Amino acid sequence: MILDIDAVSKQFDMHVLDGRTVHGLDDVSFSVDEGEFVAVVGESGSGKSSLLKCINRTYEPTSGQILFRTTTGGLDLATCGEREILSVRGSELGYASQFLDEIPRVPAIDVVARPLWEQGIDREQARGRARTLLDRLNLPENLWDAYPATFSGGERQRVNFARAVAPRPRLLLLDEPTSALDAETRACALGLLEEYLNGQTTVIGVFHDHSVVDRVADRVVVLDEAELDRVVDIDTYRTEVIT
Amino acid sequence: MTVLEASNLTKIYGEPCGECVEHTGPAVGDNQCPVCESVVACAAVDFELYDGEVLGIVGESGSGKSSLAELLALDSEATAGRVDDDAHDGNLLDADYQDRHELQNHHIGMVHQHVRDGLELDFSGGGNIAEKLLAAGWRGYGDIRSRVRELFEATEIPVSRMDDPTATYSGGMQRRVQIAKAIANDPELVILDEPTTGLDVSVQARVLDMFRRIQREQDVATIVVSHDLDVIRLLADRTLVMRHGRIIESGLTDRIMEDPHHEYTQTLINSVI
Repeated sequence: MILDIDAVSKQFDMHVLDGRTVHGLDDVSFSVDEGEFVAVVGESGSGKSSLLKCINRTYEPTSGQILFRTTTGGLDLATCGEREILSVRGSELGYASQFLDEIPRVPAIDVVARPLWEQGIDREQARGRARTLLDRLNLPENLWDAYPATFSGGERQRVNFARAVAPRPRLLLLDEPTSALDAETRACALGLLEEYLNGQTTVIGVFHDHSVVDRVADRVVVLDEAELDRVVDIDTYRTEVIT
Repeated sequence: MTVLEASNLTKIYGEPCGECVEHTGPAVGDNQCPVCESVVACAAVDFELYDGEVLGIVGESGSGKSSLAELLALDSEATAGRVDDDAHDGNLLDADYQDRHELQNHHIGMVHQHVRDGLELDFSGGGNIAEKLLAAGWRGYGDIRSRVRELFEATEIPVSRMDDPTATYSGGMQRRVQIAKAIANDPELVILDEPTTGLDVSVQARVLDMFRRIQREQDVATIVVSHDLDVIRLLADRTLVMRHGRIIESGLTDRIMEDPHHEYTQTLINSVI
């Protein structure tokens, strides 16, 4: 087991909305084995993104535990110190939101290579790996040295996706990473996930598309109105929902 | 490892009556003492700075963030408080004149908001940096010249402009010279005060990106003070939010931006246009 989520809740106290409390997640528990691919599904507003953000500590859980087994031990991502979170982000824990959010005026290739050289990989070697990834995602070569701000939604999402998988974190959180891709490019991206990560990375991914879930997931976490509805293996999910 | 630990940092302008801190702050909604009219620029500020991290300090004008930066850069005297720094025995704020100079030359690099506070505009860009090297004990024309060239390259300033007066440089180049000067002696701490003030948006992005690259390569602990949430978002690992001279919230930068807890922070984040 690499991750054990135990009774995690997240409430937002919205001072700007007269102190109204919004429930992002309500008493969610499940665990994830090393090397597993877990898909998180549910309607809009069911808490899928909140779940990933709580694991990444972009949201601070209101209660509960998120035990993460690292290469050097373990920690509770819900409550551990900020310094510990910063030290696991990168090589141990990776997160990609749906949209690219980067310093403007950085060429696509360097956006992808940056997490690698921040981990101490040689600059040219990192760029080499970035080229391979962008090539595999069919991003036209003439865009590699251009600024992503000028790209289409699908092109930007490919850069974002390449950046997220590049460092091969032990646990990768993906929030709808292929939502803006056409079917062919999406197939490339999913193929890349399987080959490049080679089963060494545990993935928790939010997906809307049933065919994507069907192709990549081992198990499926179903959320409904901020609560955990059920966790099922992919075969069960297939019979229940997809077919 | 902790590079710097600050506790109860306080700076009051005026003749404090002794109750200024109780009579000011976010709960009162003002930073001027109603009893003696002293201005409490910052008070009761506690934080730690870790090895290699970038700490953001965000707040609107008058929140006390620049006063805090000046205290840490040893450019002004604190009213109270304690700072423990790796590079100094005892309270950093009590360092005498000579120690302050030593610390400013070797251990703390400051990038001022206003170019005139940080550079001699009549000197050449290279001369401004050379001055900092000389202050830290560098000798030998050739060595200094080659170090200046190295710093120009690292901060992406055309080396061909090295001997031109700094006044003839663009705003972006002047900011780069300030950064080159701040990192010239491999300090343990760099402080950036509003690093994008006065720069075009396109230049801002390139300067921030250049600084982030250098910061990561050299793993230098950095404090960046800005009212601009984008600057904080792009540079800082952790962030302190200040208002009326106090820290009202602190946390991981992405957490502050996406899950702000304090009422004021929520308003600040929601005000971004």
